[in-house]
Amino acid sequence: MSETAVIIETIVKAVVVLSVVAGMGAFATWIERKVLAFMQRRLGPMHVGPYGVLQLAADGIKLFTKEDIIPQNALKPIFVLAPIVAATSAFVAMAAIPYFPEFTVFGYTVHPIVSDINVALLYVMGVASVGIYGPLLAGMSSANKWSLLGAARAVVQILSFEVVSGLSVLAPIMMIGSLSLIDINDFQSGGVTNWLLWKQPLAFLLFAIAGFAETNRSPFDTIEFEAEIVSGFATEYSGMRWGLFFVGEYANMITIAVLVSIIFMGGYNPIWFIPGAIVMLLKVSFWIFLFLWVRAAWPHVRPDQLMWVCWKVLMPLALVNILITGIVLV
Amino acid sequence: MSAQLVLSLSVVLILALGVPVLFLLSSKLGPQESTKNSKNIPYESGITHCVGGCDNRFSVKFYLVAILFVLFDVEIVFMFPWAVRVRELGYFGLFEMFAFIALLVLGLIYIYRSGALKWQ
Amino acid sequence: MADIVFAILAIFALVGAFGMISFHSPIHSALSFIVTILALAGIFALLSAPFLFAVQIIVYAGAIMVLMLFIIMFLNVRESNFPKEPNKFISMFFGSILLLPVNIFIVRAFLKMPEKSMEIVEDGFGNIGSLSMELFTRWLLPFEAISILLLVALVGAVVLARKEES
Repeated sequence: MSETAVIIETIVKAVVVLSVVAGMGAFATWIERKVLAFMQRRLGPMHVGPYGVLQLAADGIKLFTKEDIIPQNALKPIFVLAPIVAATSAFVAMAAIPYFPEFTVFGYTVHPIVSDINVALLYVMGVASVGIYGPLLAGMSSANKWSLLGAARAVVQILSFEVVSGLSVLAPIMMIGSLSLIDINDFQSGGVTNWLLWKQPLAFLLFAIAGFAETNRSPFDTIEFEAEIVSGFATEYSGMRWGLFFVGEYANMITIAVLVSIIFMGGYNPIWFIPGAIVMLLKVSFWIFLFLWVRAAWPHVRPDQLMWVCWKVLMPLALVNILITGIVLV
Repeated sequence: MSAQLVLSLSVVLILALGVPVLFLLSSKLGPQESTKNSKNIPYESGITHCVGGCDNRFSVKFYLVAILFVLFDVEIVFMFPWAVRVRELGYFGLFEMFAFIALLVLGLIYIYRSGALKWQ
Repeated sequence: MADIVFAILAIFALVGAFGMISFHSPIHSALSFIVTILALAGIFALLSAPFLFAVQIIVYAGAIMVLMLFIIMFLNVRESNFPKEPNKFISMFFGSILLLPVNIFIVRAFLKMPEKSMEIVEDGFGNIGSLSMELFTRWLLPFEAISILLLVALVGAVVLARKEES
């Protein structure tokens, strides 16, 4: 395949992925408000459009045209850079994820993965971890107490839980023997009973908890906990700059949902008569719903409890899981 | 293959950088007056320099967790190649990794005992 | 094609490295060093070493530089704390002239090396599987030594932190 073909194919795929993720992210904000509202016996947004769907458009226009404010004491270049890093790393991480089974259009086989890296899992986790520069740089450059505190909390929390997610994902990798997400998916072909979820329940649980913590979702949202540190690292951010942090958070949420679906829940293998693409969509939607459900149902966790849980409960459990898997496999 | 891979990754990187920058440019559509009034004063109820100074000192625990993370991250990176070839490496590899993890657990126990992760 | 990609990545790596030593503020230096690290990761990917590529991103960009920036954040250095660096570029220039003999030596040694094909080895060479078999059979002792090294570093960090507190 020639270079121009590669470039064109990548651009087309990347644009499709970006716009789908951006669309899903935008839609998810409405869904989040609706789901939370229904769980608290409210109606949520109702006034703009049918069931408030057009609230999305209204929020979008507001966000895009909002005035750009840079606080006077801030380190300007870094302040500007931080939200871009947060959004970019979340998008770049998605390049190695296969979303659907390959299909043929007009005699041309489409692989729905932007860049097929054979260590895709490491790549996705690595690039997503680079996203930590977003909160870190935001906190450093804002010249504000709350931002600084929020950044310190963010770094400590995300780093700690990266250890847990790295360790927990090792056990399934040992069974599969490959880091390619396509191989991981193919390993689980042949129905619900072949899902790794049944063979590695502990790893699944640990990975899911770490996923919640790494995306700053409740109950682990100590980073942006309004009652303690105003709005954390994003205190000084407004308008589209703040919006980019939000976009990054939702993109990370989708990435985690896709990763969990591929590694533990059979990926895009068709179930019974439902084709793979729709199965994948259902799983991702289920996970996003779960994120919201947990947010509505669970109280906050204190930062010190968070550290305690991570280093003294989850990490030893992940190590034990690896050892047991190793003994069983060899 | 790898040249194509790097090429496609760089295209993704450029696109992923371009979209947020475009998003940011959209603020030019809106009002532009923040330099003229006190809007861009830091969030601290209108106080320009935050109370007690912005450079509040942090507990050394934060730094300790960060350095522990670096160490554990390196260990995990070494465990991935083993995980991919557990079956081929057999009992020998398992024993090696047990020794590796044992030292890691030793370090963890030391951290617990020294109270380095007590956040009070 | 690979040559052009390599050239672009190499330029990024050099620009980042130059930025690191020439920026005044430590934050900017650290950030421009991250550019170098990412460009090096790209070069690893170009050389069919996908595992090293991922490791470079995870360990260097995702962990070590985060630690560096974190420390810069804690120290909270201000503009007034920076050392004055008068004639920085002139001294850098003369320093590089002083290093010229070393460079000539390296280039000559490089030219004396036996002929080898300089092509990129195709897939399967830097694969995680083959790397694993090498690491856990031939390089066993260094591998176990690494774990001891990491343990020592861990104990050292805890001890130093405790000293600070008391």
